[in-house]
Amino acid sequence: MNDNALHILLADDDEDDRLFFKDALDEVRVKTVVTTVNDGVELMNYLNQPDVRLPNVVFLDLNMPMKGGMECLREIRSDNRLKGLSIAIYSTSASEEDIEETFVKGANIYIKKPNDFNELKRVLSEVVSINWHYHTSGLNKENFLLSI
Amino acid sequence: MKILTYKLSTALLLSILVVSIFLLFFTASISYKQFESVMNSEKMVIHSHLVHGSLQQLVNDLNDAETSQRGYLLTHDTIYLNSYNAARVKAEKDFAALRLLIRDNERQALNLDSLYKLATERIKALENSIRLSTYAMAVSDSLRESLLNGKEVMDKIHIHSNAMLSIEQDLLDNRQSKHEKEVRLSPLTFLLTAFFSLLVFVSAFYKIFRNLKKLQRANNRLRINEETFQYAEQIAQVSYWCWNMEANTLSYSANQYRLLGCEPHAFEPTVENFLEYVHPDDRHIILEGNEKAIESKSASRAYFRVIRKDGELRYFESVGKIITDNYGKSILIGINADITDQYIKDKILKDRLFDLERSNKELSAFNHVASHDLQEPLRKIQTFITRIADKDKETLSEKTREYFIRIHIAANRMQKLIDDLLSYSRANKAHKAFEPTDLNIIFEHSKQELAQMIEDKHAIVEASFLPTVHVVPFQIQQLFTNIIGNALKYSKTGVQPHVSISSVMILRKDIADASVGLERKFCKIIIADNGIGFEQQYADKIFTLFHRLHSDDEYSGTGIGLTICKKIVENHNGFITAHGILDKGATFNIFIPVD
Repeated sequence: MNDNALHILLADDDEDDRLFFKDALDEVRVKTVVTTVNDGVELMNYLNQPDVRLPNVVFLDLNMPMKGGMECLREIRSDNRLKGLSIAIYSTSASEEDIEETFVKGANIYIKKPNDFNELKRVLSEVVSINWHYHTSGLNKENFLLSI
Repeated sequence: MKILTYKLSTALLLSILVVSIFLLFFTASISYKQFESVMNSEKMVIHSHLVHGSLQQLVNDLNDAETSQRGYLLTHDTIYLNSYNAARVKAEKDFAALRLLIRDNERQALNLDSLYKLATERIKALENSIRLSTYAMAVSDSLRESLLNGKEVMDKIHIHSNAMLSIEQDLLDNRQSKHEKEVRLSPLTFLLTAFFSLLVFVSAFYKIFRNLKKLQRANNRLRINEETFQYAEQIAQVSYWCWNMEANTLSYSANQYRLLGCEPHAFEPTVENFLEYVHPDDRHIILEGNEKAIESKSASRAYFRVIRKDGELRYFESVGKIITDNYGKSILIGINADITDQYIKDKILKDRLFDLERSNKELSAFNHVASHDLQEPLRKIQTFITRIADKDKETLSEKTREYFIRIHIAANRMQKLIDDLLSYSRANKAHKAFEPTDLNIIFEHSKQELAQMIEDKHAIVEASFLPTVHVVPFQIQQLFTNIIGNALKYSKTGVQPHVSISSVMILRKDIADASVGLERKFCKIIIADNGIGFEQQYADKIFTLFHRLHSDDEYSGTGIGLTICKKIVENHNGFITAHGILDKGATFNIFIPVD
């Protein structure tokens, strides 16, 4: 384990998306360690391991089998140990309802999955470069949806 | 109020009847009394005559006795003595008869007693004379004295009987005059009574006659009302029933039978007979309704099915109400209505609504598929293409690279189509938050959205002062963006694009091609450009979904943009028209109601 690297956890049921995600992060300049889980249940199991090192950022897909991203978000925010986690919503949809709901439930940022690999690299590079502490304290709806 | 009048006149008629009966009795009793009085007078007259006759008879008999005595005195023939004795017995009889006749009259009785005494005295004198003459053949002094004495007594008897006769005569005269008086008064009383009776009868007749006329008029009105009501019943498919709750009697209007498919009055109006026509599953509704009506003395509304005589199923609505009739009895009146037609229409409407809701649900499910499930594979295709084009740029042949570019363009176009379809379906959604909106701000936002395009084309996009209207802001912004975007896209090469927006308030009557609607005042927004325009014959087609006037090679597009615009304007109860001149430009007129 590289302690200097940024720990990133992705919960996404789509294999292709997990592949794109890892490929894109491999190519960004920031050093990252990526862990992936396939659904919400796996995510919560991972986070609830007693001696787990909590990730710096959790990327959360909304549409997942068994347990969706919205439910995971609610569980994380209502758990004392986990509620400080930085959470980025990572979804195909960019509907007003989803954006509104995740914002209200306490997600830190909303990313609509881009349809261009270069675009994906740019977005992820931007996200991992954010000073998360600063971003959390300055939470507002204007910069919630990351413009891509 | 009319009813009260009739009640009063009934009381009046009753009192007239009582008065009439009283008058009749009065007249009859007066007549009876009169008759009795006449009878009495007549009896009195006869009585007086009888007394008179009897007295005369008595005097005659006494005279007879005297004559017989004289005959004896003269002849000493015993034949006279016999006739004397006969006269004497007769006189006795006369007294007895008289006594009977005048037994009611005290004064006369006393007189009769005196007369009797005198007569007895006279008889004694006569007998004394007879005795005296028997002993002495010649007329002795004592005989003479006895004869003289007898004559004196006889004179007294005459005087006395005459007095009695005169009393009787007075009595008779008295009665006669009284009777005459009574008889004289009777005609007047009769006349007065008759006149009064006539008055009462005539006034009673007049009153009855007038009431009868009123009744006839009321009857006539009632008949007209009845006919009207019956006609209305038939037209409106309703009927009425009337249930006297105390007497437990039921009556139906003629149409009640018709609604059940029967001839009027085809059966006895009873609950049991009616239930025969009610659908077996709904009979309890009627029975429970009746029970409830009896218990609570109120009625409500009930719905039930009826199987008509010809077997046709009909839907009925029954509404009841308790009323109190003129005799203070509680009566439950009700209206039955055959609501089958309405019911069927309602059902069709409900079914359609259900279908509509279902198809709406399907549509929104389709939207979901379009927005998520279709986009996901597409996005991956696009990402893979960019990945390959990037990563293996060097190893690919030029031909393959070109193919990849074409695949990329096709995928992007598909992406655009999906996006546009989604925004079209969002415009369809009933989520409409109307609020007063400053169109100038909306215009600025649209301009910002299109900033890149405006800059690229060096276009002039300007607006005169726009009003504030009651609209859904984000929809109007999309409308502006789409139309201005179109104007920029279809600009003429070599000419600086110029898009202008202006507005004017306009009344419906001044709009030539206004479609149907109730709104009277509109805000007309005019968006004009100097682009390539179009032929006017296509003006309506450009709003149709997927309809395009240009091939994709000339101008890229999906054919959805203007359809969305039309949808948005319709959401605002307005309408949109397009006017084009080929190679000169296009003008879009948007009418939004403002009242």
